[in-house]
Amino acid sequence: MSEFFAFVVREQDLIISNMLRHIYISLLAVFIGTLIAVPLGIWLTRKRKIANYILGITGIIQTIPSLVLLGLALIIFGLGVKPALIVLSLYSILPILRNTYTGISEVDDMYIEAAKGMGMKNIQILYMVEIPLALPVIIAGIRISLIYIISWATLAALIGAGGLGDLIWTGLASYDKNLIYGGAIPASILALVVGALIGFIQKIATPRGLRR
Amino acid sequence: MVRFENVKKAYNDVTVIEDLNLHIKEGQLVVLIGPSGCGKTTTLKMINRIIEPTSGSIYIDGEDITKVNPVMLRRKIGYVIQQIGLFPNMTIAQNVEIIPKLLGWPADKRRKRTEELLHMVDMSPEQYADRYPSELSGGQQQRIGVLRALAAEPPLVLMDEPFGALDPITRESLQDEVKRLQKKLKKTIVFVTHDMDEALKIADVIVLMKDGKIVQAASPEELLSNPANDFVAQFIGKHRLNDGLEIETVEDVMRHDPVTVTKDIGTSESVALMKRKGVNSLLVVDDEGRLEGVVTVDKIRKQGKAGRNISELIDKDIRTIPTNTNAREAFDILIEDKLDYLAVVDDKNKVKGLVTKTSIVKALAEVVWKDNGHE
Ligand SMILES: Nc1ncnc2c1ncn2[C@@H]1O[C@H](COP(=O)(O)OP(=O)(O)OP(=O)(O)O)[C@@H](O)[C@H]1O
Ligand SMILES: [Mg+2]
Repeated sequence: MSEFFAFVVREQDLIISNMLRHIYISLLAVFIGTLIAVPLGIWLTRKRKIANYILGITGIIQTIPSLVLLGLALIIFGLGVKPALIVLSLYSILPILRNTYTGISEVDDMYIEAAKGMGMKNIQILYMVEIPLALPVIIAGIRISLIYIISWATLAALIGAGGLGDLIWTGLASYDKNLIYGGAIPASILALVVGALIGFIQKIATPRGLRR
Repeated sequence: MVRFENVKKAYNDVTVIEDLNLHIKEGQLVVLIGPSGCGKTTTLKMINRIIEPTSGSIYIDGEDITKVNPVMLRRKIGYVIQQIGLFPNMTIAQNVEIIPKLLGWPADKRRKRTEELLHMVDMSPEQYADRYPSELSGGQQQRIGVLRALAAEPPLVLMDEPFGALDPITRESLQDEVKRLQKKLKKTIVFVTHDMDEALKIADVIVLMKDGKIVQAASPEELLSNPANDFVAQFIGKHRLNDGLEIETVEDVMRHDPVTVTKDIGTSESVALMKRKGVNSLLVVDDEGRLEGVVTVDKIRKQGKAGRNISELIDKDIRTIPTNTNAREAFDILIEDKLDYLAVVDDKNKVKGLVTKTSIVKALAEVVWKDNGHE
């Protein structure tokens, strides 16, 4: 154990720089995923008929083993940050999409009718009523997504994403326990901390009237 | 104000509104009433184009509403939905200010209006403006629902069973409030309910519907005294007047001169008074005429001591009813609770009269014979 601490102290620059990169990659992937998933999710609530279809497809993507997808990305895009980001973004879409869709769908009809009866335009109904009411659910989706992506990003290191996964894979290849722990432990802590942090943001972002 | 001309609404092949013709005049409170599924909500929602008629036209102030942009139309029509529908993510003030905000009122004007409205229903802005709907009671929420519809001063307000889920007392006070606001602000209100009590209480015109058709549209008095057919008669059922006889409230059937005494009267004096008046009990009141209880001849005989006053013999457990109680109701109470009398009191608990079986029979007899005499 003391040996591991010595390692951490000695290699702290390496661990920290990999951790920052890990955070950066994960956040960027989820950010891109959010940009796609939220508008898509909203749009799907207006197109109920194709919604199940699209949610099905993204569900299937989710079930493809990540290594297979990473392999595919490697073949198509080559090594590097870009293919890793593409795969991670794809993965981050589903939880956000699903939560956006259900969050907006589950806004009680009475609010829509009240809003309409008051003379709100559709776009006003969307941003004054539907999105605020669905926000806690949407943020919950982003949170789940981010936690997943932080762990999957360790895999993405295989195709050149960098980050804490680099330490793990190098450690596995050279059978260096310290390196493995040096990657795995910060990655786990990161997932926990980020999860808690977003939970906190979610609480603040929820208007008092919606808290229970 | 609002005119329906040959309006029809069908879903696929099912007609839910059939050839509806109705003229709602300015400043009137018109109540749509009828059994579930008769088309009240559909009729209401066609006015603000939440539902579009299959055929026919609706005019507001002479203008065909299909020629008006629905968003603009709705901003001039207040709308209270049945489930209230206050937005839980907005404070009371924000909820009330939605339409003024959509209309581009400046913030200080909006705030002033909100405060004015809250005062109108006796809710202090300091206390309530910044609360969330979940922090209000059901009755307060429904008040806010009504205020929200009134905020931008629409000349026309639609209300769909706005007081549905309330206890009778809150409900009555809100009915009074709506009626008062309507008179004061001179609004035209279309009000949906399935409660005849509510309709009779607030309506200028009652529109009774059945199976998508209007069965009768008339003032409450007209409806009660001249029901168009058996369906109407049955629907108003218990409210039906005794064919024009003027027995309505308990005031019509009570003794107006109950024998009252103050508690410092002596026991023997009381008994003498009862004998003289031919009664077996006396109502005890204070100096202001407020009811304190009753003293009976039996109790004085059993427990009274000569030379004492009646103050220890007063029975405080006496049933009272307010002066506006329905006569039929008073009769029912007398019979069901096997009482000998009911004291009628005003809102300050002052004795106004006494209802006994004899007094009811007398009142009925009077009406019957008077009526017979006219024939
Ligand atoms: N979207 C719809 N599709 C088909 N039928 C409908 C639709 N909306 C309403 N109806 C039918 O139209 C009829 C009138 O409905 P409406 O809601 O106006 O009744 P209501 O008088 O308001 O009844 P309630 O007192 O129960 O609220 C009902 O028979 C109902 O089933
Ligand atoms: Mg209805």
